[in-house]
Amino acid sequence: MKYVVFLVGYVDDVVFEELPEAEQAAWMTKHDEFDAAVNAREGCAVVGGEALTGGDAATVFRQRAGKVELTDGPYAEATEGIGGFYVVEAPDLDTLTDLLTVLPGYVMEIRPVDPAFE
Amino acid sequence: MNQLEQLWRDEWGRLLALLVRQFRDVDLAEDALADAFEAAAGTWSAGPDAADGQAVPDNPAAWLLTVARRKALDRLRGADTARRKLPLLAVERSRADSRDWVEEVVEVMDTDDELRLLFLTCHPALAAEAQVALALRLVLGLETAEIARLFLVPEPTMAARITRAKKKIAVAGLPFALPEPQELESRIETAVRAIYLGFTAGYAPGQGDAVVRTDLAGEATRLGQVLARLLGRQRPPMVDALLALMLLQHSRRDARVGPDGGLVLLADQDRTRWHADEIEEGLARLAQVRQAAGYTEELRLQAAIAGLHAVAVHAELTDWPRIARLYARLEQLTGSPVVRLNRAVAVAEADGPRAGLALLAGLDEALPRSHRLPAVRAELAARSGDDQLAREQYLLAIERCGHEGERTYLRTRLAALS
Repeated sequence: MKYVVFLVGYVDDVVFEELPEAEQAAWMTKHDEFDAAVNAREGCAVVGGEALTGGDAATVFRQRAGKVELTDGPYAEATEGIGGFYVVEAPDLDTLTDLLTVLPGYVMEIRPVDPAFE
Repeated sequence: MNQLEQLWRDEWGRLLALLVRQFRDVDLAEDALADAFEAAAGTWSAGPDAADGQAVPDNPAAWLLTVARRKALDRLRGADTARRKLPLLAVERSRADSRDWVEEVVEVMDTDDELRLLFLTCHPALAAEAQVALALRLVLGLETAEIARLFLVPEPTMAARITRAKKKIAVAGLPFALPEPQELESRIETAVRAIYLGFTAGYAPGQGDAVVRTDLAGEATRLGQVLARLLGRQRPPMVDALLALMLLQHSRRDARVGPDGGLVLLADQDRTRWHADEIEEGLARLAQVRQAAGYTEELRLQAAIAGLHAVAVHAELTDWPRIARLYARLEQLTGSPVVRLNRAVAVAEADGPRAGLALLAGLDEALPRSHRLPAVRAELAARSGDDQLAREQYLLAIERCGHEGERTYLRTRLAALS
C-alpha cells in the first residue's frame, strides 16, 4: 500500500528555527535514519518525498471561465504548516507508524493513496 | 435461548476471525457467516429423529464454518473480483498457516485470531465510539439495529458509523495482526478505554429517558470478559481492574430503577437485588490488582470504591471515610472535577454536610453545565439547614438536567423542602 505522509506541524509547537544548531542537525539526521529504516524493512520503500519551502512562497492557482486566477500565499491556515511530505510503500498502517517513530517530532497526517488511480 | 442463539452468542467472534483470516475481507466474512447461521436455522431441527431437515450436527461450529467458507467462495466466484473496490486486509501469518488448515482449523482453538479481530476493532486509528460499535458488531456479533438501539441513535446513523470504520480499516491498511510487543500495552489500553466507553454509555446515559441502559453495560462487560479470556495469563492488571469495576457497578442494575422508572439512589436501593455472584467475581478480580499507576490505578481506585459499596449490606454500614480517602487519591491522580464532586459526597457522609460543601467551592467554573453539581450542593445545603441555597440549587439542577428519570427525582427533593 502506498501512503503520503504530510509533515503538517511540530509536536508541542516546537519552532524548528529556534532550536539550537546541534539539535537542528540531529533532527535532520533522523531523516536519513528514516530512509535507512524504511529500506531495511521488508515490503517497504520511500517512493518519494520533498522538503517544501514555506507558506510565504506559496501561490494558489484557480482556473475559472477560461481565466487563470493566482493568489499569493497558502490556501488555508491548515495547509500553511505543511513543511514536507514522504511517499512511502508499506504493507499496512502499523508497519508505517512503527517506521515513522524514527522521524523527529513532526505532527504528521497519513493519507493512503487511492489504488484506483495508481 | 435456543442452541443456535447460544452458538451465535458464544462463537460468532471466533468464527468470524477465522473467516477474516482466510478471505481478508470483513464484509464478505460477515455476510458469509450470517448466511451460514441462516442456513442452520433452516435445516437443523430439534431432535435426531426429526422427519424433515437434518439433526443438529455433532460439531455445530465446524458445520457453520464449513458452510460459511462455501458461501464466501460462492460470492467471490459470482462477483467481478477484478473490479474490487477496497484493498484486502493485510493478514499476519499465524501458526495455523503452516498446516493444511482446511481440515484442521475448525479444531484449532486459535484464540489468537479472535484477539486479532478485537485489536482490529479497537485500533487507535479509529474514533473511540467507532471502536466500541465495531467491537460489539464483529466480536460479539450484535446486529447494527441492536447496537443502534443500545446507544439510542437511529439505525442509519449507526450503520454509517460502522461502514465508515470498516472502510477506514480497508483503505488505510489496518492489519489483522497482533500488535508488536512494544505496542501491546498501549493497544490493550485502547481496547480497555473503548470497552469502558461503551460501559459508561450504558451505565449512566446522559440523554434520553432510560435511566440505565443495562443491555449496553452488559454487552460491554461481555467484551471485557472476552478480552480477559483471550489475553489469558498475559493480561495486564488493567484488564482485571476494568472487569472488577464493570462487574461491581453492573451488579446494582436491578436496584437502580424504581417501579415508576425513576432513579433510585444508592442509599435507597434494595441491596437484595444486587447480584451477589457478580459482586463476588468483581471483588475477586479486584483482589488481583495491586496498587499501580496511570489508567490502571484510575480503574482500580474506582473499582475499590465500588467494592466498598458492594460489601456494605446496609447503606448505613458503608465505610465512607475509606471511600473519601480513595476519592482523594483518585482526584490527585486525575485532577478531575467530577471526581472532586464525588469526593465531596463521600466527605459529607463521613464528616458532615458542611465539610462536603466546602469541597464544592470553585467547581462551578470547571463544571458550568453540570446538573449534578447543583444537585449535590442542594442536597448538602438541605442537610445543613440552608433551605434557601437548597431551593436555588435544586431549581438550577432541574433546569440543566437532560434526563427525565433524574429530573423527576430532583423535583421530588425540591418539594420535600419545608
